[in-house]
Amino acid sequence: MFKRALVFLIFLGLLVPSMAGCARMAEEKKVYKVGAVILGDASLPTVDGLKDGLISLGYVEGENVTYKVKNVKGDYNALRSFTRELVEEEVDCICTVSVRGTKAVAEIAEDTPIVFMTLCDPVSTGLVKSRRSSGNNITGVINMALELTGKRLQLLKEMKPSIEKVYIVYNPRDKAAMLAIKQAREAAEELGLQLKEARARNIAELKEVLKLVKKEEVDAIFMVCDVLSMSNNRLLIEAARRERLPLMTSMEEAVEAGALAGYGANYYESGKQSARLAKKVLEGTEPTDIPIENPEKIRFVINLKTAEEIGLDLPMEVVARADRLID
Amino acid sequence: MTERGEILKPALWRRSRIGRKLLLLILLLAAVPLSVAGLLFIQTSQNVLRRDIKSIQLEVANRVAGEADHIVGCIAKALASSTQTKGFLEGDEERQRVILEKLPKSYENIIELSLIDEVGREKIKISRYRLITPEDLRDRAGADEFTTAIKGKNYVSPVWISESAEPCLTIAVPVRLTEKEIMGVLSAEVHLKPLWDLVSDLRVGESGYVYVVDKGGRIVAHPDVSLVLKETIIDNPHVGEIRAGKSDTLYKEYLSESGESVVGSHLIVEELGWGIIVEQPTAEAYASLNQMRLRTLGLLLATLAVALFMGIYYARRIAKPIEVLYEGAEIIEKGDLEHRIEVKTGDELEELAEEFNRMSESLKRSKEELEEWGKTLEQKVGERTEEIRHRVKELTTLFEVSKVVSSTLELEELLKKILDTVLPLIKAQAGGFFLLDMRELVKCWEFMKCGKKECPAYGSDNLECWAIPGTICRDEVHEKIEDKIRACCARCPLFKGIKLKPAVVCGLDERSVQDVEIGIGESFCGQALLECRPTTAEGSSCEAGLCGVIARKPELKNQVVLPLMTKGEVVGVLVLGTQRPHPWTTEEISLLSAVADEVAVAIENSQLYVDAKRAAVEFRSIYEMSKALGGTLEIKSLLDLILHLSLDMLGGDKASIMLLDEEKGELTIEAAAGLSEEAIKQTRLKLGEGIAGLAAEKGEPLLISDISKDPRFKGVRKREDICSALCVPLKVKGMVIGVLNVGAVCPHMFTEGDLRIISTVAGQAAIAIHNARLFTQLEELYLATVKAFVAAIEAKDPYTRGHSERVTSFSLAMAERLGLSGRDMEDIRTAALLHDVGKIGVKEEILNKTTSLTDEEYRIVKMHPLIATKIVEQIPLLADVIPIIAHHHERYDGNGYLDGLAGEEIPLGARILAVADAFDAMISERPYHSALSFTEAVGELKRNAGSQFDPKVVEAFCEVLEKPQFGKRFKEAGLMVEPSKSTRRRSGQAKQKVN
Repeated sequence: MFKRALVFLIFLGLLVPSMAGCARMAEEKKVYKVGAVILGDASLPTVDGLKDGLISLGYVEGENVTYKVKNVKGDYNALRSFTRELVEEEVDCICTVSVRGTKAVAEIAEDTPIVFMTLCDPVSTGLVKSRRSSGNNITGVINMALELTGKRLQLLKEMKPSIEKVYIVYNPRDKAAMLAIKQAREAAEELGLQLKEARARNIAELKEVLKLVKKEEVDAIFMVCDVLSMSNNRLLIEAARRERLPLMTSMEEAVEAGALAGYGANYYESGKQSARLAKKVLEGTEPTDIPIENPEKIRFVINLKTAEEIGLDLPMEVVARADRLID
Repeated sequence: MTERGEILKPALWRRSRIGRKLLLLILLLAAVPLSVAGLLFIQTSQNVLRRDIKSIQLEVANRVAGEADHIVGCIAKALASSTQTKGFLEGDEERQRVILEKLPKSYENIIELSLIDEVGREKIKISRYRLITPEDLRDRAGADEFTTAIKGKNYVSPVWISESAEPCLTIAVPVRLTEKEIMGVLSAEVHLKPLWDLVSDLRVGESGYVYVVDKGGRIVAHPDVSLVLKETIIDNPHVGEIRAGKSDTLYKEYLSESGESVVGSHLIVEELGWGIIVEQPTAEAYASLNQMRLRTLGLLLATLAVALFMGIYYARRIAKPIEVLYEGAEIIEKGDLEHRIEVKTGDELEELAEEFNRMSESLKRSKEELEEWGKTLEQKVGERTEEIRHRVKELTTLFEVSKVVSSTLELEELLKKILDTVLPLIKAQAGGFFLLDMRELVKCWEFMKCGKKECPAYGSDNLECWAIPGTICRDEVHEKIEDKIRACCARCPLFKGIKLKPAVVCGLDERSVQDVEIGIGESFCGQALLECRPTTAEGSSCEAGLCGVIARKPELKNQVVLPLMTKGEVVGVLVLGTQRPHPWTTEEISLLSAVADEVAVAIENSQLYVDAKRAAVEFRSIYEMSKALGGTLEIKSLLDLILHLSLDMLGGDKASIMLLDEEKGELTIEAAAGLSEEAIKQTRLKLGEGIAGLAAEKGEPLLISDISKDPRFKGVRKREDICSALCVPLKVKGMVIGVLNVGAVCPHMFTEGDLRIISTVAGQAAIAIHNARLFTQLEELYLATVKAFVAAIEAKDPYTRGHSERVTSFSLAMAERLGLSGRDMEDIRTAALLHDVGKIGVKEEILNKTTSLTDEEYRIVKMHPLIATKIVEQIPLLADVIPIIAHHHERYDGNGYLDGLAGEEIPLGARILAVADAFDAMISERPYHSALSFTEAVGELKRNAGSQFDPKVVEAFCEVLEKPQFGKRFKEAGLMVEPSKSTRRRSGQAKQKVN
């Protein structure tokens, strides 16, 4: 009797802690699934930024997070089917780019949290209710390309004070672009600049209109927040080079590729910043409770090579303000 | 029952008290230290943990404070330093713009910058995002930032949320122209996004968090951004302290905004008046402590449970036996002495219980004894008396035994008496003495065929055979014998022969006992003998062990064997059997041992007596023999004498004396007793051949216990059924002259003592034989000389030639007829041969005178016997012959010469010789007369019988002459019966032969 009781007690003493240990181990085993949909090669750095950001926040690919990434390259059908796939797989979060792309994803993934990594104006495009609270399953980081339109035009003017006519191409179907154009017009008026506007609905049209850009007719090319031209910034850079015109963009990548200057958010940094939001989402915060963020880093980048190529002598004050100089 | 109940109540109470005490004690011993230690441990751990929590929380808070300070303080400083940049205060607006444009680049938090002039209007405005138009310049004279900063103080606005949902605040610094002159205000709008990110990234433990509140308790930064966006004002102990300006406090527990119990601490950022609060769910923060508490509690409970079990177990274990003891003691106290307390705890309690039991046992015994004693005191006294009487009887018996022992030296009688005395005393029905027959014992060295020094036992480590009684080794080392060595003897081959044989038995059929023989170590008796201590046997084991005959009597239920020992040597055993069912008591055995000791001594004494008697007989025999041997010189009778004496002394069946023929080197039997004639004649032994040959060759005596078993004589033909033998060489001056053999039909007949005796006898005998031989030789030599004289005399007188031979022959014939023999015959022969030797002194003329002799001449002739006497006197051996020679001329009527003896005075030999001499003179030719015829001569003899001759002798002579043998005898002597030619011729031949 006595011995049996003793044995039982010892057994109990050993059993309880071991069971607790097992429970804890099971809890830690959770692996999150993150899907990412990219519209074109230009926005690929966002995914790198996202992954790096999540790593710095403790989510390492293969350990506690897996990624399913697809670059649909402008094919919205592919985007939809991939989104369906992600939903079926019950991913924890889908990361997107651009208003249109995000909207397309949101139409299918109604319950899956969506974090956009870069886009222009979610509020006026109706993607979300407000910056503070989306009111739906979406949150993310905007690129402020739209908001910075005036500032960029000002910077262009400051870089080359002699500018009078500025060439702008936009997709009239792109709401953000339209808003940007509106802002550009207001700013141009303010700065005493004359805008020479061109419309392109697709790449072909864009190529066509860009052929018409002539150094004799304009003093600079200004890229607005337009998905078409942003995605195909290469064409704009070619045109600027051809005509030895200064090209002002919102994309650091474009400056690296040969545009004269850029002022705006960096795709990689945006991706990295949105990782914080993705993390909150993964940890259970409703996207509606996460305010939509401005990009943390808005950088003014000048390509001194291009300046030299086009024979532009940049004022020292402007160069001094640049966050990055490429030469 | 009531009485018992009353007694039991306190008993139970006592039991429970001991049990409870013990239980309580064990519980206290287990629980108290553990509880105290656990509590102390928990207390200490809690303090440490709280300190840790606080320090961790404050560290986190410090980081946030640092960030806040960085954002706000650094920007304020940057603003202030910008205003002091060269050219800024000079009022050149472009210059100021360029300077201010650099700030957003350096400080990414700055969204907008406004330079406000001294009246509150914005002079320059720079935005990170927007294009600033002149319309954007506002009048900010009424704004707090301006009113505060223009007074020379830095301004930090409360946090507000921008359109883009970012927390922002305004920082304004005065633009100082000089130390006291302020020309405007530089204001900046700053967003706190990094602070937010930091706050949202920071985790304290698993789910602890940090947030920032301003003075009013409004949340400035919080991981849950919605709280900031909702501009939540929270109220908790920290906020109160932050308002009061108290920093560095850890609050134990309170409810957080989300209603969760938390522990938290806070830190105040002095410049901003913000409080940084770190909160951690209480459960998590104290998780380790709680776990520790749980474990401690668990351990405590487990220990208590164990202690409880142990307590109950031991309490029961101790209290139960005590109760049993108590109850038992009560029962015993009430007089139930049969009661036994059953306690099996294996400790002192059990011992105590046993002690109780022993006590009650001894109480019971005492009680019983008392009762018994009381009841039968008289009987007891009677028994005691009986016992004393018995003891007296015992002592008397011992005394009787002693008396018997000292009364007789006859062993058998003694033993019989002892048995008769002892058996009734110890109520035994049968008994017997079995004695060791030592005659069977072979001597070690004899068995081993070795000399004494070569004996394997001698000087070796193997002491086994030293224990054998009778071995030479043992004689030298018997002091060292130990009992255990004695036990080894059972294996010794020499011991096999020794058997226990019945000496005297009583109560048993003597005939059936007669043939019983028990070897040493064999059966029960033999074992007792070997072990030298009394051994008893009961019931059926008797049949297997004890001497068969006794064992065969089933009614003898108990038997005892007592070794009889003297001086450490066993001589036999006393075996007793009784019909009593109960075994032998120690007293009986000790009494019997005493008897056995007495008997052993008696046996030894008897043995000594026998030995002494035997020695005496031996000595007397030797003495007698010496005397006898000295008494005769006649070799034949000497040898016979030796043989008979030897047989008498040694008690053998056969004996012989063999003498050595030195020329042939052969032994021949000269005398024998108990041997067949054939054997006597045929036996011829070379030296070294046979037993006698060996003894003669080696010159050493041999003692053979059993010829058939003696390896030395394996090939020797066994003669005359002899089994044991003594063979002693007869030696004179170291030379072997013969062998004396004594043999017996049964084995082991002779002992070393016998050998000694026979050796002595042989020595004597040898000398006697030698003497006899010498004497004979001497005698023969002298006789030859005398005969030579006689021959010489006879040669001188042809008439008397052959006279002496003839006279000798006649004389011997007469002597034989008259019944003489031996020595007398020899004397007569010698006397007859030498009777005329005296004539050597008589002149030849007188002897050969044909005429009558003159008186003078006759006197001279009558002198010849005297002369003869004188000559023969020289030979002492012939002393007996002298009277015959001296008186052979005496006459029966006394008229003869030399001394004139008459009748029976004259020696018989002389009387015979006179007849023979006269007869031969008558029948011979003499110078003085012619020969008479045989018949004439006989007639002449008969006529002179009674006057000149003894008539008996003459009568005998006549008878001899008439007998046919006489002729034969005369032929041998060379005499003729009738004086005829043939006889004469034969006579002549005989004379020649003599010559």
